[in-house]
Amino acid sequence: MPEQTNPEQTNAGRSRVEGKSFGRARKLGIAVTVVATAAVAIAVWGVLQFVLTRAKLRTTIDWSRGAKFTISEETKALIDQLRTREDKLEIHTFLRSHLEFARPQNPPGVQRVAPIQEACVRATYDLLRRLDYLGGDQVTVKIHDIYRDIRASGNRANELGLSDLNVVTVKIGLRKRSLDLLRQMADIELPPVERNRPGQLPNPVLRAYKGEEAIASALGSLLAEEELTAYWVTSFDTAPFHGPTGNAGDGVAPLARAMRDSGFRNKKLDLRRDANVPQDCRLLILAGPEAPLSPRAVGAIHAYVKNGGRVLMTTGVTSAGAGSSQISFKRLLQPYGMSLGDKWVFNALRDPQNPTDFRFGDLRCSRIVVRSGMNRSHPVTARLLQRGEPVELERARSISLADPMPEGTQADILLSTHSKSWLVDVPPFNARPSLAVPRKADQRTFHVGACVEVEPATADGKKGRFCVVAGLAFRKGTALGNLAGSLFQANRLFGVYLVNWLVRDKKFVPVATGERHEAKMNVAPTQVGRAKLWLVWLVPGLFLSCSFLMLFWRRRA
Amino acid sequence: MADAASIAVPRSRLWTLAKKELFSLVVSPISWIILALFYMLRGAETVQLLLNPAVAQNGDVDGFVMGYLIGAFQSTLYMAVLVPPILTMRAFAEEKRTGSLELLMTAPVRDYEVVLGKWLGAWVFYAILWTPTVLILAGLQLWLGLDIAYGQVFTSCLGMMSLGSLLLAAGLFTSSLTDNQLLASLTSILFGLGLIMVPPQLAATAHVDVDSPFYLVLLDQANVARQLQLFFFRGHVDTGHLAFYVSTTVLFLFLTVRVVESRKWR
Repeated sequence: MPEQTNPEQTNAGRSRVEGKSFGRARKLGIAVTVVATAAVAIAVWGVLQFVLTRAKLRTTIDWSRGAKFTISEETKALIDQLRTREDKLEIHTFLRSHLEFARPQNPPGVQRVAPIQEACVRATYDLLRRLDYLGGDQVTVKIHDIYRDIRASGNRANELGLSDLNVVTVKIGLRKRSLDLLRQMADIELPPVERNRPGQLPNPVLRAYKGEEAIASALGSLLAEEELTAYWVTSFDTAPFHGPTGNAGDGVAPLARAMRDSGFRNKKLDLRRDANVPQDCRLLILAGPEAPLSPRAVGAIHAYVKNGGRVLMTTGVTSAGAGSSQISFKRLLQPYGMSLGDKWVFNALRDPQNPTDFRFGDLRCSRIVVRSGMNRSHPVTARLLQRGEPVELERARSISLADPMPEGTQADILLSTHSKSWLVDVPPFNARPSLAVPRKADQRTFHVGACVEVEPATADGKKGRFCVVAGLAFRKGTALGNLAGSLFQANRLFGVYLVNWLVRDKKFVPVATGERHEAKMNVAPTQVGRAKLWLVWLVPGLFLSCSFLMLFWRRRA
Repeated sequence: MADAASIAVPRSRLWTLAKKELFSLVVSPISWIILALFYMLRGAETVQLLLNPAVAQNGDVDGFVMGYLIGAFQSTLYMAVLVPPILTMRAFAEEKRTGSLELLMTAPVRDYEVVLGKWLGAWVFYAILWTPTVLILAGLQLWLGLDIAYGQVFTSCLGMMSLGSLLLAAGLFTSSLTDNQLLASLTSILFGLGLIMVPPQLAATAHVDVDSPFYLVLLDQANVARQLQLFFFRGHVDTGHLAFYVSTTVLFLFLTVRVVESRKWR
């Protein structure tokens, strides 16, 4: 018998099933909606972080004492300039820890600097953090940990050509400046020794932290330099880039390469063909010209230096001797108060075991080694002295300065031989020079490197610079085959420092730093005792009694 | 188109909810015990700082103030992480457990008003918790004759309040997810500890040359310990950091509202 079904019951069952599936779909829909909105919200949050941290949208508010975290308008203008030019600034730090200064085995003078080092390091990191934020994508700050990442930071320091650590290096492209933390970024005062305490050295005082000024000045200088183009004069038998054999035996290509690594662009210039030095020339190099310079070329060089141009001339004695080239050199150097000798400068060899002992009668006496005869106050030679790097010259000739110097010029002697030096006649081609021991009366010091600064023609113009290195200094090989060691390798740093100093003008960006103002504490031990009573017992006790009060009140309520 | 009046949060309703939350926190003995413990630790740290002769004699006042605000053992950071979960763990979890949340949801208030009210009440209590810090500093100034830069104190409070708002919002969110108070507070504490500890570790291994700028920005933004120590506690405020706190707080509150709303739909 067929079972009769109640139509109402069937409909209810169907609607229950439908309701169940509808409920499930609804729950799924709600879950999807919740998850989707949450995902969208998180995505929006992420994008917001990225957008709101852009340099253009973010700002900093400085409520510290003396607004010590505020970047000056001058520095901000430089960062804006950086942004406009789309240049990328890299700042690398290689700073020492103050603990290294404070080691007991250090001399007391070094130990006393430790608190200043600590304050300067902290201030530098604060400053760099602000520059990093301010510069956005344009500025990258890399803090190298010289204690943990020894190898990586050492490699980076070598790449940046750093001779010593505790420096901040500011770099745009290949152009860079390094600033010593304690010497250039801080104003440290050494108080005089008190009369009544002669044996006790007073502690040095950090008068002002000048990091911002130093970094802004370095940045300003780098921005002002733009592209450094060096023109190498190829006429007048100047030294070839590569040697006659084509294997760069005695060419000057290594110096050109080192200059390229320093941010220079090297170009050739034929002064027989071109009447003027090009406008974009930042450095003109006359590397060992042997043929006489034409009057037109001399005139072009004079005009170039008068307008703030920079010239580096290297010239050694040649077998061709004096003659017409010597006359043209005289014409070239006369306005700068310099003249070149036509004899070969020799110096006695120092005995490595006993530096006061000298040897004569050796062909190696022809290689001039300038060690103590470097100018201590000139930036180029002072750095070499600091590093203990001598300058070596071959086929050197002497430089004499006019007395008085021509008006508007100022000369600096860079390199001088030691007192056991003498002049030798230049022998004919392929002949050996005389190795006879000189008379005592003939032994004296000769200048073999000098630089003259020329006042600008206009008040707002730049100073011209004419530098002469009177000898072969930057060739890859040796002028005399029997001498060991490449000249360029010996003088690499000298060459790099010299060309950089010649073209780079220090730009000073004044930043108001003001005196350091620190509020000092002076708390007596009795005050500490009372502070303990109040802060550790009474104030917390008050809150604890409030909790009991609340407990009591709640129970009553 | 909805008019502005309907979108704006009715202040009286929101304030009523906030007051209710605040009242429940103020009358809770646990809150006062937290305060007592917190200030006992803070007092011990301050005394420790003053016992250091390098600080007490010829020390830098700004350095002392920073040390006082952060705490000799960085207790401020850890208290800032521990306190908000305790204040917010009850917010939804307890109400869900007792069933009073359903009652609240049937009241003529919007979900976001409930969430905002609870957050605001907790935030005001959190602010009250920090007030004695400033008062004690003012007392130290009068008593020890310290030349205190109050700009630094203000930015420190701003930093703590910003971090507090974020962690309170995160605490509300975790509380809305479960009806177990302990689970809610533990999750929230873990989140806070993660926020304090993880970004500095990641930042130490991040490579400016290699990692994506988006990742680096997020890492920098989330590095709250660094922001507090290098910016807020030293009188320096970066609006980028404030944007992180505000947006993250809003994000957590939004997520909490969504979770609370989803209860109605289930």
